Amino acid sequence: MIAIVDYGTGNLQSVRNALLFSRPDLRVDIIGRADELQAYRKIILPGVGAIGPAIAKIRTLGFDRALQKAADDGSQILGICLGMQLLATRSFEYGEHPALDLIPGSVRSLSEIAPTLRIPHIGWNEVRSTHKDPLLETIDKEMDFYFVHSFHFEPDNPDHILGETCYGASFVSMLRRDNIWGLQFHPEKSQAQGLALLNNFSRLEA
Amino acid sequence: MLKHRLIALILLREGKVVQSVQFKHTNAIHYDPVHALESFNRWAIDEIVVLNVARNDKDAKELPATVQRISRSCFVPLTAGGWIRSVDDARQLLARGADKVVLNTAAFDRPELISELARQFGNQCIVVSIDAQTSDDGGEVVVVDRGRRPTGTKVVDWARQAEERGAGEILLNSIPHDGKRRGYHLDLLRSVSEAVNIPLIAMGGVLRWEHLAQGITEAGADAVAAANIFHYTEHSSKKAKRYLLNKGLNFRQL
Repeated sequence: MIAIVDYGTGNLQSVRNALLFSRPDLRVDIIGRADELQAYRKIILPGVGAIGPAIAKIRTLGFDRALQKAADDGSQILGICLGMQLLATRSFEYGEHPALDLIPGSVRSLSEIAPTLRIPHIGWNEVRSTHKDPLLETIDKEMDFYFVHSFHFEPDNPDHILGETCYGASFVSMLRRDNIWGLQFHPEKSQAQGLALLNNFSRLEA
Repeated sequence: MLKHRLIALILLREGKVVQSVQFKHTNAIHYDPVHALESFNRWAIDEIVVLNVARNDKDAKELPATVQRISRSCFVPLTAGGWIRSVDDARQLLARGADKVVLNTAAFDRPELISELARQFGNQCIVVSIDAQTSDDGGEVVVVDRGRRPTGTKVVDWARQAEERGAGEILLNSIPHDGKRRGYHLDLLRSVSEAVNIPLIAMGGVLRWEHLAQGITEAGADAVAAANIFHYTEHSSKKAKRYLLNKGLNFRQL
C-alpha cells in the first residue's frame, strides 16, 4: 500500500501508472489530506514545477508535519524531482524558501555548476550510483534516466549521496538518508529501468 | 552527458490520429491514439508529443481525456497541447498525465501566458511551438492559427521573446517542409538554435532517418521529432534509433 502525496501540483497519475504497470494488484492511493498519511508505510512525494507555490501548499495542507511524523516513525519516503528538492533544508529557487528539512542540504540553481549549458536540464542523462542500495536492485551502475529540472540538491552530508550525474559538472541525482530517498530524475518516465526502480521501492522491506 | 531525444508526434483531430501535409490534416491513420502510441514501439521513442489540431475549441475539449488514456501506457515524457489558452487549460492536461504543455497561437497573441504558466508550473514545463513560413524576401516569419494567420514577426525574434518570457523549450516546424519529405528546414533551425539558450526540437519534413541525424549534426537541434514517418513502417522508431546510434550520435541506448 503506497500513498502518493497530492498537494495540488505535480504529475501524480503517471507515478501511479508506473507502479501499477509492474504490479497491477498494488494499492496506490493519491492522498490529498494530511491526516490520511499516517495509514501508509510507503509514501511518494512527487512533483514538477516551482518550489515556492509547492511548499506553501504543503504547509497549508499540513503535509509538512505529516511527512515529518512519517519520517520519524520510519515510513519509507521517496521524493521525486521537485519532491526530492522539497526534502531539503532550504531552496534558493526564485528567492529563499525553507523546505521540509528531511535531508539536510540546499537546493541551488544548475546554472551555478553549468554556466555555459542550456537550462533547464531536460532529457536522458546517465546516473552513476555511488553505493549499493536495495532501491537499485537489478539496475545497472550507470544507466540513463529522464531529467527535467533547473535546480539541484546539495546535501550537507556527503554520506547521503547515492548517485551522481554530470551536466557541466557533477551534481547529486540520488540521495538516501535512512528511510528517505530522493531522485532528481523521473523514474516514472524512464521506461524499463525507471519502472524497475519504482517496483523496487514498492517491495522494500520495512 | 545529456542525450539527444527522438520524439514522436501524434496529431489528433476529432479523437483520431491524422497526418499533416503542410498543415492540412486530412488522412486519419489510426482510429485510436492509444494504438498509435503502442505501434510507435514506446521503448525506442524518448518522448511523445500529442498535438490537438482540432478546427475549433469545442473539439479540443476532448484532449484531457485522451491524454489521460495515453498516459496509462506511456512511460516516457508526454507533452500535450492544442488550444491551450489559460493556466487552467494547462493544469487540466498536467493533472491527467501530461508532463509538459505546448503553446502556440495563444502564447503569440498574449505572451504573458508563457510567464503565467512558467510561474505556476516551472519553465521546464512550457514548450513554445513555432510554425514558420518563408516570406517573399526569403525571411522566416511566424504563422499562427494552425498555419492560417501570418504575423509578420520574425521567427528568431519570437523565439528569443518566448525564452525571455519563460519558455523551457522551442518546438520549431516549417510549413513548407511539413509533410513534404525533404528533410528539416536546416537553415531555419540553425538560426533559432544560435539565437536561444533553451533546447530546440526540430520538426517537419522527415522522410529518411538521415534527416533526423541532420537535425542534430547540421542544425544544432537538441531533439528531433517526426510524425507521419513513424506510421509508415513496422518498428520504425526502433530502426530510426538504431540508425542514429550507429551514426555515433549521443542518444539513449535501445
